[in-house]
Amino acid sequence: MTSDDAANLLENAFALRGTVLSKDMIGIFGEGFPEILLHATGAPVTCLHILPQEDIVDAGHNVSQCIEPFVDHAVQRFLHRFACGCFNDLRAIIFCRDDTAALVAYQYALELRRLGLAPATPKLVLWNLVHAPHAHEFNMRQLETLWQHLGSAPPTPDALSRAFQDEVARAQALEDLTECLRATNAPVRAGTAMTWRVAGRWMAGGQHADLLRAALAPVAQAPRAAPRLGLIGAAITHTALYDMIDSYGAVICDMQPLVAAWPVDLPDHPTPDAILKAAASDRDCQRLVPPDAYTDTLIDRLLAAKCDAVICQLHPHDDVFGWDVPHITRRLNDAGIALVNLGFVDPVPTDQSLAVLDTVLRTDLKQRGLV
Amino acid sequence: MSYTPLNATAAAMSYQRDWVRQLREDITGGEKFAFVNADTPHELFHAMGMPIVTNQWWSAVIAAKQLSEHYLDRATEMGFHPHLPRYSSLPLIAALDNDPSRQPWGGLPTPSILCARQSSDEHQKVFALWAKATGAPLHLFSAPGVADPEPRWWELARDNWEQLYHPDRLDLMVEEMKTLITTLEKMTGRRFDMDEFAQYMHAINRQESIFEHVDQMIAQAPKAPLRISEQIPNVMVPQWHRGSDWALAHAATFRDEVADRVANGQAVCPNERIRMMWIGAGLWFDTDFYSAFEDSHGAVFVWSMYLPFASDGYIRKIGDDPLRALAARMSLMNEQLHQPPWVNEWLVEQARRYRIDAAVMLVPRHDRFSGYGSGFARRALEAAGVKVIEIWSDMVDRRDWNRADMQAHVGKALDGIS
Repeated sequence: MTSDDAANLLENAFALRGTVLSKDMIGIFGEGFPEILLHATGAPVTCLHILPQEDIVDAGHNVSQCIEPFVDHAVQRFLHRFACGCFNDLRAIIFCRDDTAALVAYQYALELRRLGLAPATPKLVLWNLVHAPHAHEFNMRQLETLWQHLGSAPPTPDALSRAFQDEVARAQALEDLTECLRATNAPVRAGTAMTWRVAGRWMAGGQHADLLRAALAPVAQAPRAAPRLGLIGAAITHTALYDMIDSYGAVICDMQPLVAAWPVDLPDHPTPDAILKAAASDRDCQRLVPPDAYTDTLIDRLLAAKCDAVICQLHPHDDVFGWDVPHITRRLNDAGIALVNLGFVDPVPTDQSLAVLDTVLRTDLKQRGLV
Repeated sequence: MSYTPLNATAAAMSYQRDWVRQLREDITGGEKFAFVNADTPHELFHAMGMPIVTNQWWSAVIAAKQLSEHYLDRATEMGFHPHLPRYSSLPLIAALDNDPSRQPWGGLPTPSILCARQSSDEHQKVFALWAKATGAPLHLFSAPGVADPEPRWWELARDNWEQLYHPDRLDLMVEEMKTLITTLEKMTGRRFDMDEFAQYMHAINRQESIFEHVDQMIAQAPKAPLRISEQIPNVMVPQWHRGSDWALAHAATFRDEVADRVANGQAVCPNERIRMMWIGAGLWFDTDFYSAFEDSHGAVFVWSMYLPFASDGYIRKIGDDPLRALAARMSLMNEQLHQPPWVNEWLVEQARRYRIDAAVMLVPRHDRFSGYGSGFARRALEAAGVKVIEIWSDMVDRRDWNRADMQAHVGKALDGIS
């Protein structure tokens, strides 16, 4: 496969965003589900909180009447499609409770169905993984329940080992992608890198790793003479926003939720028990106990990446991440790293709003002597 | 129109004032106290003799003292963006502001322990910041969701709570409560006594049963016998001290006084034409708003959630496991008041019981946890024949509150009913 072929496949997967659904497919809404467990059973998986760009809206306006405007944008878009029957053919949809939006998506979807405003299929499953060390027994019970809901047998140890190796390969390929952004002649810009990362939402680890390796094949590693940038805050999939940021420097530490890699710091032959423990202590989860662990990890990664500046952008209805921003700002400033806060960013930025953000970013970086 | 307040209201407020004064003296003298969220098991702190201050109550006090504007502006200056939740964070901001002289009652000393439940996503963040600022340990209760929820939860909550709240969730919460008990035993030097605790839980059930009687009287009375601005302190102050001798005695006093009013045909508004429910937390910075439509429209707020929730939300069959019964009380407390399908089904039932004509619904756009379910509630109430009037504002933030505009907004909607 040529580099261009691989890149096209990645970008096509990102553009389609799970548009093609099949009857045995399992949808996942929200961050934090250990998909390796499903991949190991051979079940096809699709991500439902990153949807195709075109909206599908419930023409009867029943859904609009039930959803408050402050409900997460991804949840709103999902619920409209759900009510319109777009997911009828799926085997099930799993909602990750410890994602800040997914519980609302689950509750609203169930209620729309109960009121007769949404179809009776597919099965809706709540994934109740608690991100705290003391909850392991509870979490294992959730896994047993999950297999019952899905009517699946748990994966065999061999299948799980293979799926794990695929995830390790994926994690390494994603590291390579980050490295390549630091190169002078980087073949991709930040927007493309984001699309390649997010494309993995609709692929098993092995396929994603293969495509990333093939796409990255011709990269040279001369360092790029540009500010090293970090990115934190809201989940975004807008390539133009990424490319705008990329025009001021290399995004070498992308910490927005949608591009996080699944934790692979496990033995070579992990058991479901070990996988659940890893998932429950995933430091990319904002509901992790103790709460400081999430913030400290984020700051440590930004410091380790030796960022010159970190760009923060927020969801207009954020009620979680914003609590950490003053502390993150102080810690970064103490280390001599600037935090540029773009403020609220529309989930779907317009050219006009992008121009405003561009001005904010340019002015701030200029004042700091970084451009 | 003149309205005579209940004697019980002044007694409740006076008791609370004295209690807080004494608490402050005790704390200043070295006594420990806990700062806790409203949906945590206060019972464990009471049982261990550790006083508590409730986050949302302290937030309401700050708002009632007209201090929210200052603190919320300060929050922005501190770098917290303006769309973050306010109700649960106002006390944190006041603490970070570090000017006790400005705070109500000279401010709160540093708590010995913090406790929150992860029901709403911001709770752990707010309390973690508080822990970082004070060094106080933080005990967090997890809040797993409920799969396939039962809409008419109140019909199962008293006796069939194992089915309603699910065994795995209850097991987890009991374990988390045991961890808290161990912490409190170390902090207080006292030993948790399960037999005493069982008796205490029974006492709470008796208290909530008294409130249930009051609730039934008010619901069935031909006209509202008291304002909700009086219902709230007469319920919530005893709830703070729930299960104590004073709380039971006060609940009984309140019940008797309401019973007298009902028997005598006393009404808030003799010309009552429209019966209203106030949906959401209190409008803490402008509680006079509740009586603003009595003269103009004969419209009376007869319902707020605090009284009816005392029975549906608190009474639990104790059985032989009082800790598990407590878990059943707490493990979904806040969610039942704010999320579908629980909130919409319960509100419709309450509207039916109270013969409600109109519901004024506070929708706080930046306290999303409290705002979720508003659309479903509106739809359900309208289907039940209740006029729904939305107020997009906040329970503690008066910055976007224009009394005249809001009064005109609600008044115009009520005109349609008159």
